[in-house]
Amino acid sequence: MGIKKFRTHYEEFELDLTPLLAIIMKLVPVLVISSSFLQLTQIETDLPQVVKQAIEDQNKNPDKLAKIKIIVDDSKTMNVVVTKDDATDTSSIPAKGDALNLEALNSKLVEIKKKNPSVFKIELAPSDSMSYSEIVTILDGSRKSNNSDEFIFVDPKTGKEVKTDFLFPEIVFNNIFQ
Amino acid sequence: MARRKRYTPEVNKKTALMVNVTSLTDMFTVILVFLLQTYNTSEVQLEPPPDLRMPTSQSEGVLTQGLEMTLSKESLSIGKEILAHVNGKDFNANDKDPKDPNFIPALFKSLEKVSKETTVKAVKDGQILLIADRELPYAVIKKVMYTASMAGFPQVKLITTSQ
Repeated sequence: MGIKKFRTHYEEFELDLTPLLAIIMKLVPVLVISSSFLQLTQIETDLPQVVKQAIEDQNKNPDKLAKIKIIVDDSKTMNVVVTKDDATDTSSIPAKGDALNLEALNSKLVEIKKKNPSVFKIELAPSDSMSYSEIVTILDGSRKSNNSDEFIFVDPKTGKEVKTDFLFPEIVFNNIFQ
Repeated sequence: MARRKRYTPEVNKKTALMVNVTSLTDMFTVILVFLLQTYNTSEVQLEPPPDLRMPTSQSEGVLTQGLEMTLSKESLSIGKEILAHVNGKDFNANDKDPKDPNFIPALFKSLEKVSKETTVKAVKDGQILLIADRELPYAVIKKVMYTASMAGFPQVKLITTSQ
């Protein structure tokens, strides 16, 4: 029978960190060179397949669904025009001080989306004096609900009901040729 | 008077010098985690000019390939070639077509040339990555979009910084 040797807890266990440190020292410069500290994104992005299908369906049958247009004038008042079956409904969202009232726009778009869940495309006509950053805020506000609302629409391919958090992800500048 | 001898501790020259690297390793691990987080996995690398301030967006879209176009408060350029000059609010009068003020002839010619010479599919399909200054008015951006669509580049992707 062998004699078991017991280690006392007083013995210190020293981990050699030198190889780990050597690896980290090599990794850090590589990552410093290849890292991008400015995170860039692009606004037109890939959409879920079902939403893409619905947009294609809307493009094929433009007269079937409601047409939504946001017209912004020089005083930063946003006019949301909804045209459906020859009937036009216009809502005016006045500016909040010197800035665009984006909260009111988002609420209005949520309301329109609830009435027209299959519509994913809107037309935007900004005024010439509007800054690029203001246009980007309108694009952001039109894309998704501020309150993370979900909308149910019928998938044109399968006929099944699908939930989505997208409001109007397809935005077209409609006054470029004017 | 005899001078006092300075105290020098006795050093055992046989003992090896042990450097404790634990704290250094901790620090490097934190740096490593930070760098891994900021590591860019996108296949497209854009370098906006230092004086250009892009708008901020909630969009989380990953950059895709396309023709990189820069529109600052001073100029419009593709790569390093300056095509037109901007005075902050509009293009210079001599850069615009006298018959159609929305048309930028130099941009049109350059895009036509790129379209013929490129081998990149996204550029052939008419995709532009527009890096523009956030303070520029829509009137300037509209002229770029107008000329680009005339030249067969209808897909303009707006490049922004993430929030």
